[in-house]
This record gives sequence, structure tokens and C-alpha cells, in this order.
Amino acid sequence: MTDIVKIDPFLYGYFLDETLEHGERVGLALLYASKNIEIKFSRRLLPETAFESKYGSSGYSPSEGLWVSDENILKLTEEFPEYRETLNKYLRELKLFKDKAKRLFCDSTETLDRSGAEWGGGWGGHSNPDYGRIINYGTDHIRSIIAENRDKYPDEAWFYRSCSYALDAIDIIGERYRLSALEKAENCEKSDDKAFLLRVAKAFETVPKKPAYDFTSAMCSFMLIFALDGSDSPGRFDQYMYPAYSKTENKEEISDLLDRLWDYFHDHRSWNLCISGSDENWNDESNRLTYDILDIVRKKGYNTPNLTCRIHRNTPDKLWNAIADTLATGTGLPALYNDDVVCAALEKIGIPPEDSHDYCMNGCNQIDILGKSHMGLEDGEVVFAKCLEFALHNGVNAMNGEKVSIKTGDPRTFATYERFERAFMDQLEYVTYNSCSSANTYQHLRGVFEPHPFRSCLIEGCLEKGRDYRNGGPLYNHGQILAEGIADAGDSLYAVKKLVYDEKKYTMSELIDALSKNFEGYEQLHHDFKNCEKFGNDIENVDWITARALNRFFTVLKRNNTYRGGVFTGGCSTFNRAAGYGCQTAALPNGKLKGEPLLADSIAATPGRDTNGPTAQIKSVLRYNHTDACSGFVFQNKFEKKMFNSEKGKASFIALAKTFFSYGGQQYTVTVVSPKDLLDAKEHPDNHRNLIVRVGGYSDYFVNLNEALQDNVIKRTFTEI
Amino acid sequence: MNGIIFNIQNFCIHDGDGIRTCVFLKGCPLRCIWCHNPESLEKTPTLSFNKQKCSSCGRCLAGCSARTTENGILKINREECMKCGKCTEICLNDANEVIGNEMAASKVLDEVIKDKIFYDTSGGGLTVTGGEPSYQPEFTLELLALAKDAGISVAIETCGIGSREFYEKAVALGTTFLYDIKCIDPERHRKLTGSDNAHIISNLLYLMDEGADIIIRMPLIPDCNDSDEDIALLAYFLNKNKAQYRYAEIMPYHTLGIGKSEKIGINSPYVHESASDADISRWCSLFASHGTEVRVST
Repeated sequence: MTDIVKIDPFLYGYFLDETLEHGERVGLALLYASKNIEIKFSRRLLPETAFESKYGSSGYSPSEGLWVSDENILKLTEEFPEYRETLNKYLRELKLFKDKAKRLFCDSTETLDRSGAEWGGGWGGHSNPDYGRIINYGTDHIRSIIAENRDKYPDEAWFYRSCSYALDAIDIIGERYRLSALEKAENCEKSDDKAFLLRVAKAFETVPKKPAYDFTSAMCSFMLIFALDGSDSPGRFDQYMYPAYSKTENKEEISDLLDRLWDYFHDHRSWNLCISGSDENWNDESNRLTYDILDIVRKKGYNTPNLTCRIHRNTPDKLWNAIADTLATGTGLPALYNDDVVCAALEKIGIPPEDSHDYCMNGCNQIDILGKSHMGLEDGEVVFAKCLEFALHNGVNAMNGEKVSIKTGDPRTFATYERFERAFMDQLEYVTYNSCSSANTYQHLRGVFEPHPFRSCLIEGCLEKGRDYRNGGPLYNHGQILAEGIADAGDSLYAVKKLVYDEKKYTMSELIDALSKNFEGYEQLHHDFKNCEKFGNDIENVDWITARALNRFFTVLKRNNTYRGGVFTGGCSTFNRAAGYGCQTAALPNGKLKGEPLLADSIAATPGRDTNGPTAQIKSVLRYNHTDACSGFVFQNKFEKKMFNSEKGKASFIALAKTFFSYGGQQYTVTVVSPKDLLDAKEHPDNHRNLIVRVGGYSDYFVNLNEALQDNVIKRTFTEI
Repeated sequence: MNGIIFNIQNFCIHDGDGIRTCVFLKGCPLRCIWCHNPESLEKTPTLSFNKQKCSSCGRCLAGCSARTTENGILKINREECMKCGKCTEICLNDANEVIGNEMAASKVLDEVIKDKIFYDTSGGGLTVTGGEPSYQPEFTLELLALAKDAGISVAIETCGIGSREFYEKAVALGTTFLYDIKCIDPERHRKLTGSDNAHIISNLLYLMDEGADIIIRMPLIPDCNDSDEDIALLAYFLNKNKAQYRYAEIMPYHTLGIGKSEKIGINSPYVHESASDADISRWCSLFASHGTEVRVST
């Protein structure tokens, strides 16, 4: 008979002693898993153990902590009838536990959430644990931190036990890898592989208990942490790996390991890896490993992990050039962050310079302090375009007539533009408040029900305070709410101001009637509103209205505290969700149609509305205050790959980025025009009026070209990629 | 004073040093058969009509004596068109555009100065192009002077046909010249552009004598001005004056102008496929065989 601990070691460990605290039981689940889960190697022979049971019935992930799959447990009951009773009991108990969580934290803001105006706290999030704590100091060092602090908090003895289990788990897996590598080496026919496996086995004699002594041993430690943290975000890899790097004479060993690692990243999921940066005295922290990483990213051409490069006032030209060369591969990597602005933003919310300069990214582009914070990641979103819709319809969701938000008055009766703008700001404030409040509800739930002993060991403050990573343990516990559809709201406000109140070309009644009928029968009105000046073209009047709206959002956020003991701040990165929110938004005065899947591209213009080129786009987004945003404040310029093929093109890109940063820009991403963009531009020219291409020595807007030339450019782009 | 301009384009990185803003002036005295900016030829505004966008709804007929429909298809009598621009407001499909409007030099500068932060980091500035800047000499010179006073470096792209006085004043302002040479042989030059090149070459030699900052640009058009002999003459000229210009670049022919011609209701006098890679490598090796260094604008 198979032992139940082999079938599902997580659940076995968790149910070993039901009288213990939930958090300690999660620690035991990890401990039993470490002894029983399968030990695997990647195709390039790096440790790649996934933290889940053999049958996918349960596991441990950074976003959820201990997770369970009801469906797969039910399958197990059929496969192992002898354990049916035990497994059914597990399922029953866990369901009761989840129900309890739900009862305690019922969701009061559901209607607003469902309307597509906001959400808060729906998921667990990314993190930047301090990998260096294990790589450069070893798990024994963390045990000594536990020993120093545990007696101060006798009530939290279970928490320290749980963290100790997590540390034991990683040591046990390390030891199992040592044995497994030896065994594998014995049966290995290729001498290169054999030598590599023996080096790995030797490394695990030391790590993860003790500090790494060279790049191979550091890599072994790294792989264990990366796996146990759910293949999330390595953070400042070139910094914490550097001590081991500099102890390694053999350059081939280093490039071989990076090659293996990047294949691993490519085969598996991996989020954000950050390079370079400055210390609190603005000394440049790029090193040889920084350049090695850019080399491997260029060589591999993979789009994972999301590579972030920190830029600052003393970034050397050599690094700028290496960045431009890397962007020339067309993957859009690295994304650039400006320390001068990010650190200022973090310092505004009370994070001192010695820590603000240790920030890095996780997930797509959310900011955390390496090994010192839990900044939400992200806690929620607020859709500005939807708030504008509420202001136009007095709190009603115009998609379905449901009354979901506060009443801010019937705009038909508003005598001045200022009154209308106030109605919008009130809606924005209400929706933002709701997003924060909903985020806090979920954060509280996660703090109580989803403890994270492993991250608690790697994030400063947790062991020192006897509190879990999820429950206010880290040094910094701020939250991040993202803004969506900002430019759509700004453009709409401006169009109302200009055409209704300033020029009096249309009345508010006509406009609202037209919007309610999705502009049907109001073609001239639609045309005029659509062709009104838009954000993203360096037109001050539109830009300042848009910036004012965002400013209000940040102000409201900072008035709200997070459950975990910080303040809410914000950012803006749409990913691909903008389209979804667009579908849930009715017709707007910027000319957007009901349900049209189109909202602004992060902090930039609504796609295709910024027709004055990249410098104007940059000038417009610089009218926001980027030091108010403590989460990624994403700005993208799209270029043809061709631009990076010439020295002049690269130099121009560097000049653009330097200008943007020296005038207060926070983040700069370059995307390369793809054949898909061009095909779409041919079909929907309106959404791509900003797309500039180069034809035989001349630049022109793609949508202005005749069909034959458009096809030519498309063909060329296909061959470039 | 006012000039007639038809475009102000930001982030131009191939028309001089650094990141530049190009101001396009209406009007050109030459009639190069391959012209890629046919909408710039006339000094006065030009109506551009994109028939692909037209739905023949007939809205633009109201109050316009230049428009009729025949069998449901819109016809424009361009002689009658006043370029009043009413159609551009009425048309829901944005099929109409009046190209060229009058603008004071100071207003143009207001637009140009918006990108000063980029000129400063990149070593860029203003490039006046067209059309032909020397065809609106006073306006161009005023704009160059205003820009210079505002601390913006200036360049003009010129075919060289302007008066000597114009170039004297422009060079005094420290202008960089993107100077076109289309063909060395005078007779062929006349055939291809409608004008002799003696004056053009003489202006260029004058600027060279003055030590002006010069970049030579050579539009090469397959089967027009790219024969072995044409290139030998160009190379000879460049070699002879080697120390007098910064660099020379080839501008390979492309079909950008043909689509524009259709929209403004004229027939392109020269229809040919864009220069191929083979054309370009032939030109380059010819120049190389004469020991002349050239760049290719891509």
C-alpha cells in the first residue's frame, strides 16, 4: 500500500496535528513536502523542483500559500480507495476553513467591482524576497535570526516554528539534490554533463545551509529559492550574485551557468529580473555581471524574464550603449526605470534613501524594496473612464442601467464646466476609496488565512517582529492601486469643456442623448468629439486636465491606510486588461463607442490618438508628477526595429530616454512594431494613427501610405523579426 | 512674417544631427519627375482627397461649387476649388484635407521650441525643408534667425536654386545645409527637374568657399539619374571638393509620392518600383570604385 505521505505530503503534513495554529500547519506541510516530493532536473540539469504534489492535488505557491485542488483530490479518492475517508475528511475540513474565511470577509463592494469600475485585493501577488540572505549567508544565518528574536514574542512561538520548518525544508531539498546529482552523474555518459552534476553535488555539500563559495554553488542556492518562491521575481540578481561571481575565476563557468539559467527561465515561467542601479550616494552599482546578463539576453532573444534596468544620474555611457544594443534584438527588453524618480517617490512615503535605493521590480513592473517590503502587488485597479461614465449618468452604469455609484447630479443641469469636473472627481474619489477598502478586506483575509513562512524568512522585519510576511511583518507595508483609462477620461473632460461649455457647439443634453444612443443618429457630433484635441500630443490644455485627474487619484490614495500598516499609493500599467475595461465602458465624449475594447495605454494616450510623434508623447506624460507613483508608472514608445539598426537611431533613442528621465520620467519601455500591429493598422487605421514607419530614407505615418507601400512595410517587418 | 507651411514633424532623426523638428514649406520652383512630396509643389494650399475613405454620402456637396456626383461617385473640379476647407469639417470620414496653411514665423517657432529639451540632449534642432525653403526666402530667414536667438541650432534642406543673397544670409546664421545634387550633367538636369543646374552648383561652391557646414544628398532614381556616367560625374565632383562637405548620402527612390499624387489629383510623371537592394549595392560599388565615400539613407 502506498503511504499517504507519498500521495500528498502537503496535506499529510498539514493534518498531522489539527490542534496547531494554521500557520504552523502550513510550515509542517512544507516540511513533509520537502521530504517526499519528486526531485527533478531541468533539461540543462539545473534543480527545478515544483512545489506541488505528484498528483496536483495540493501545493504551495507564493500567491496563495498552501493551495488545494478539490477536483484532483476527488480523483485521488478513486485511485486510492483505501484513503477515501482520509482524503474526504481533508476536503471537508479545508472547505469549512474556506467558508469561514468567506463569512468573515464578505465582499461588500461587489456591484461596483462587477461594473468594471474597480477591483481590490483579488489575488495574492508578487514579491521580492532577499535571495542574498540564503545565497550569501545561508539558512543557518536565518536560524540565528530566529534564535535571537523568538523569545521576545512567546505568543508567536508557532510562527517561528513554522519558519524553522520552511528553512529545514529547503535544507532537506538541497541534501536530496546532492544525492540525486551524484546518482545521476554515475549513470551519465556525457562527460560534460557528468562533470557539471558532480559540481552541483559538491555545491550542495555547502549550500543552502552555508554561504555560497562560487558561482555554481550560488546558482544552486538560487534555484532552490526560486522554485520555493513559485518562480516569481529574482529581483536584483546582479547585486546579490556578485560576491559569488567575483570569487569565480573561470569565465566559461559563469557564461555556461547563465546560459543554463536563461533556458530555464524560458522553459518555465519567470517574472522580473532587475539589473544595475545606484546606492544612496548615487554611485553606480552596475558590475561585470550586469553586462554578462545583457549579453545573454541579447544572445537568447527570449522575452522572459521581464528584464528591468535601473538608470540614474550617473549611469555610464557604456551601459546606455549596451542597453540600446539589447533593445535592437526587438524583444523590448530591458525596461528602464529612473532611480532619480522612483527613489524620490519612495522617500515621499517615508522609506529612507538607504532602502529606497534597494528597490526592484516584481511581476510586470510593480515596485518593492528587495527583501524589506510587501507593497501589495497589486492591490487593485480604478478605471477612470468608467468614473467619467458615472459622472455623465449620475452614478448609473450606462451599460445596463444599474445604479452602482454615488449620485453626483444630472450634468444636464450643470451651468459650468467646473461643476462637471467636480462630479467626475467625486466619482473618482468614491470608486478609489472602494478599491482601497476592498483591497484591505482581502489583505486581512490573506493575512489571517494565507500565511507565508518561506517569504517571512527572506523579508526583513518578519522574524524581527514575529509577524508573517502577509500580516504586517515586513519593514514596509504599503499598497498599490493602479489607474486605468486615464487619458480616455482626460480627453472626454476636455471635449466637454471645449465643445459644450467654451464653444457651446453642443448642449450637455445633446451630448448625453448621443452617448446614450451610442452616437447613432449623431454622426456629426461624434465626428466633432472624436476629432477634438487629445492627450499625448503636447497640447497643454488637454494634458493639464488629464494630469489633474491623476493627481486627485494619488491624493485620495494617500489618505487611505493599508490593513498591513502602510499607506496606499498608485501607479499605472494596463497590461492587456485595458481592452477588457473598454468592453465594460459605455460611449464617452472622447468618441469611444459603447463596449469598444479600447482604453488608454497605461499613462500614455488612447491608442492611435497621439499623432505628434514620440517627443510630443513624452512631453505630455511629463505633465503628470511621476514622483507620486510608487508602483510601475508605465510609458511605452513604439518604434520600428529598423531604428535600432543604425548608430544614429540608437543615439536618438538614448537621447530620448535621457531627456525623459532628466525631466522627471519614471519608467520607459520600448516596444518594437510587429507585423501584427501593421496588419491591424491596415484594417483599423484609426487606432494606429500614431504609427511612424521609415520608407526609403523618409519617415511617414503608416496609415498615410498607399496600400502597395503598406504591404511592402509589412513584408519587411515579417523578415526582420 | 507669414509663410505657407504644410507640416511640422517632430522626432526627425535622419535630417541632420540629433533629434530634429522639420518644418515643411509649400512651394518649389523645380519639377523633379520623381518628387516624393508632390503636395508641396504649389506655393498655395492644395486640396488632398482620399477616395478610399470617401463613402460618396454627398454631405460635402452642400455649398461647394467644385463638387458633383456622377453615378453616385464624387467628382471634384479642382479648378473651382477655393480651398476653403469646409469639406474637411463636414466629411465624417476625414477624406478631405487642405494641405498648407499660413503661419507666422513666430507661431512656427512656438511649435518648434516645444522640443527644445530633446535638441539639447541630442545635439539636434530645427530643419527647414519643403518644398523648397529658398522659395520663401524671407520667411525662412526669419524663422532661422528666431530659432537661433532661442538657442536652437538650424539646418535647411535645399535644392540650391535660391538667390545668392539667401544663402549668404543663411550661412551667416550658422545654418547647416542639407544640399541636394540631383544630376551633374546640365542638360539632363533640365530634363529631369525643369531647370538648369549651373546656379545650383555655383551656390554650392559658394557655400563651400564660405566654409559652411554641408551635407550632400543625392536622390538616386533608377533609370533616371543613376547611369554609370551619372555616378562617375557625381563621384568626380565629390572627390574634387572632398574637404568641403561633412559627408554625402544617397537617397534611394521610393514610391511614397505616387499615393500622394493620386490624392491631389495629378499624375505622377515617373512611375517605377522603389529602388531595390541590387540598385543600392550597384550605386555603392560604383562610388567605391571611384574612391568616393557615401552613406545610404535607409
